[in-house]
Amino acid sequence: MVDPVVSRPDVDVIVIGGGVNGTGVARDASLRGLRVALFERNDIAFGASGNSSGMIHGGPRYLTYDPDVTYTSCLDSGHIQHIAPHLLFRIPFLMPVHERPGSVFELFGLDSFFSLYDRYQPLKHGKPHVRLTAEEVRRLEPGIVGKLAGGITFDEWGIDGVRLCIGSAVDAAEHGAEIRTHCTVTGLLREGQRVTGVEFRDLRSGSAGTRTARVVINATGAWAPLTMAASAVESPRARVRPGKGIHVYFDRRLTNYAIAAKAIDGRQVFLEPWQNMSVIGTTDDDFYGNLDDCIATTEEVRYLVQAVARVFPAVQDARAIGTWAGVRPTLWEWGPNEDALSRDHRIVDHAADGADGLYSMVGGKLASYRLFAEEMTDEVGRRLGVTAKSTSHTSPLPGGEEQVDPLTLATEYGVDPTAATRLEYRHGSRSRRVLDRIRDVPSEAAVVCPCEPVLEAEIRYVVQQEWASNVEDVSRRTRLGSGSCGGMRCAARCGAIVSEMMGESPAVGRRSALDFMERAARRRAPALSMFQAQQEALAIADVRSSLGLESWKTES
Amino acid sequence: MKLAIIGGGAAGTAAAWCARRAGADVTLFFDRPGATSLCSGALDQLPWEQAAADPPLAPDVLAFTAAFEAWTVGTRSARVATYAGILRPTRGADTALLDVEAIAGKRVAVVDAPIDGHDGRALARSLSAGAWATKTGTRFEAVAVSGILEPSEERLPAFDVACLHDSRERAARLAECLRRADARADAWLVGPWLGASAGAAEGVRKLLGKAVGETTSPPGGVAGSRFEASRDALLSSLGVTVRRARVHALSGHASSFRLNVAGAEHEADAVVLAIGGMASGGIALSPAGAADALSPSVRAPVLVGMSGNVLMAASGGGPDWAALGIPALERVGILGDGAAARGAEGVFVAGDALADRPRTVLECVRAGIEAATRAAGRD
Repeated sequence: MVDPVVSRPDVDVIVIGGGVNGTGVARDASLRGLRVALFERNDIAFGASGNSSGMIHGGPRYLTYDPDVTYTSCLDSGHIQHIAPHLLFRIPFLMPVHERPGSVFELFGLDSFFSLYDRYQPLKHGKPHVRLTAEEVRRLEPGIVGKLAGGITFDEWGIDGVRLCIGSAVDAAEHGAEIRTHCTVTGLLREGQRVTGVEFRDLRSGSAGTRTARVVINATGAWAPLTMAASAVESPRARVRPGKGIHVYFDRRLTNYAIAAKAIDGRQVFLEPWQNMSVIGTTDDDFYGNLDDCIATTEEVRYLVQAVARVFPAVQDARAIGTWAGVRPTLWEWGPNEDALSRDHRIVDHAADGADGLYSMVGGKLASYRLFAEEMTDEVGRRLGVTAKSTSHTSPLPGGEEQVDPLTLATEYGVDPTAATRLEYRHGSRSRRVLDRIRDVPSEAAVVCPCEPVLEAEIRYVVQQEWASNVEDVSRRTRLGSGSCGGMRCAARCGAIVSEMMGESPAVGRRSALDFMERAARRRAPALSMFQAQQEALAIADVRSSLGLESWKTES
Repeated sequence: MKLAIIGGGAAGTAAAWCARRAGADVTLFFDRPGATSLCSGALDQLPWEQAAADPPLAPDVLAFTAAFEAWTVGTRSARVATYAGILRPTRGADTALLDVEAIAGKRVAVVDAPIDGHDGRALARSLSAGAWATKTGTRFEAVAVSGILEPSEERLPAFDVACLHDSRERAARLAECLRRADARADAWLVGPWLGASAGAAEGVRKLLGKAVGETTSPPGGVAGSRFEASRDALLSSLGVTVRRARVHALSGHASSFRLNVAGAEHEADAVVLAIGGMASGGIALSPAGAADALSPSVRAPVLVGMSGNVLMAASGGGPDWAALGIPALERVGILGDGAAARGAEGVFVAGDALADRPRTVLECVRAGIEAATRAAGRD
């Protein structure tokens, strides 16, 4: 232990990584009165947390071989609903069973299986499953084809993973935590075997610095190998098996129910209604590419669309407008195929690796992040002699304090009702803080991104309150530019707003808009139809010419 | 002489104008809007970032643009404001755009009103911060303007607002709103919503008695609509037969061609392919391999890909689609420049259909004229 009289460390806990685990542990520790600093190399929820299926499902898939994961997922899903009710929406699932030899038994098997799952449903306020006749399946989703034997419906919860992470980070900051995004940890500070802090570099300003702490937590998910290399710590127990998962999304909701389908290799995939669009997911493949630039491929898109098209052929004519890709930090194991890997989580104390005071959070799922964070903070508390218990399951996340009615907001503040509804989803009761800006500056009621839609007030709010510093950060927090136009209509204007707020020149804002559009185009391209891709290439060339290709260098 | 022109963008329209002047019997086919219909309103000869040494325009190109109502190409370069807030040089422009070269050193009022996508304050800030404004001492000031729209119209898309201003009453109302907001401004910069038809902007200028003009249009904005309106008027006055249908296949050679148009046959003595690049989707050529034998009318490196027997002329721009594995845009064949290619007798290619980068509007006009000149046998 550091002698508190001689040298008091800057903070108690340093968290590396701004995903759901990192922000979760930063929040839990801050709520217990610990002083926390969090460093994130990219942006909050940049990796798997912001690119997941957007569900805090109970994991029926794990019921047969990992029932503990199902139990903890369901339990924690219930807690998340309690602390952030505004972020959750019900996704009813439909599993059609096609007529073939043995389909009667398949249906019977599913029925029994979901009867078992029903026992866990009350934990997450879910509804019991229902066995359906072929006629009922067709009535619920007329787009399903094939001769049906029947089907099953069951119930899961959807969530915006980015908003969940932002909520945790904001709550942590409001309890004293320092949150630094676009700031990478370059090494550990040590005194012999003991880890006493980190060295970091701010990737925007280029400036470097150090922070001392009593405990350092590595919550970098799939980036763990990079973190360990930078830390010069070797630890086989903290190894992850990186599994890339992609999703394809459409310009609108295609169905009311999430529909399960089987891919060519027998894997289960689904088409789910999610926020204001539909999403197909997901793949699971070992990934060893550049984590900072992980993008879906055309083959992955075809694999998913082909799978869903077998039960829901209309998906082929629907307008796919983009993809997202993330890399799961699954617990490392040699041998099993990707789907069979455990979704459990593990805390690794690196004292045995010659790095006392360093911990790694390995594995985990979005649905059970809170529990994982609580366990990690308990471990930290034991070490530091802090007896406070976790309150992360009872104290609301920012925006979850009370329910507000979006239509009342729309009338009260005179904004577009659709915009108010979307805003309320993202910010819950804090929507009022966003909209109060309009009281002061009425022009901030302008709709900047018409697809989502996003108001100017929200852009300014996320820059001021949620660490957004460029167009892509704003998009991640607000879904600006995530609709069918890919930011063509809003990126330039958003860049102008952000640069003004950051005290940067308008040219920096244009550069930021262009960067966003280029990245968005690369993520969208694998999903677009040929004609759409052609039109989009043209339009991007046009926007680029209006932003000025190289002029930002000379005109600033 | 029966000439079939495929494509209704800048190249196809210029080709039709030129061929009619040469006395040919012209039928023009087009289906979907292409690059010119998405244009920003700036008319370049070279991509504007390289336009420092802009060569003089050919007399034919000037004659065409003079006949084209929506466009103005003067003897000197113009300078326009993009909707993203930069001032960029351009050889010519849609007549509705504000040419700031003409008002250098003066005070320009930028409309600040809640109209779709328009942010007057950000625009004024960004334009004032640019090098040209500083050098010439031109001031851009956001001026709040109220009353342009009825409350019920406040959520209309910019394009619909432009359509409103096609009516005389609404144009007069706009002029009055501007006058009331700031009577002493030297000029007014507004968003791309002065009118969807050519000539509406001129009406507002006359009413106000000073320079009023738009920024460039975003993709799919009104500049493209004004191009289409002027094109339709020009083609009609020239007596060109226009068929809005997709040409599915082209066969034949030398001086006898058959076009398969929506199931029916059309005959022609010569063909101008002005089918665009990325936006087109190409046409089927028969026999397969005919792409080897196209006769380009622009001297430039040409990239032509074949997907099945569908011609794909890739003109770049945007992301590298090929690297992303999009098979339809695979670039498999490279033709030499005009001199090196074996000519497919009677087929002439113009515009974006053969280019290693997106062609500018005036380049397409020149290529269209050159293709038609050759097709009509005047060369």
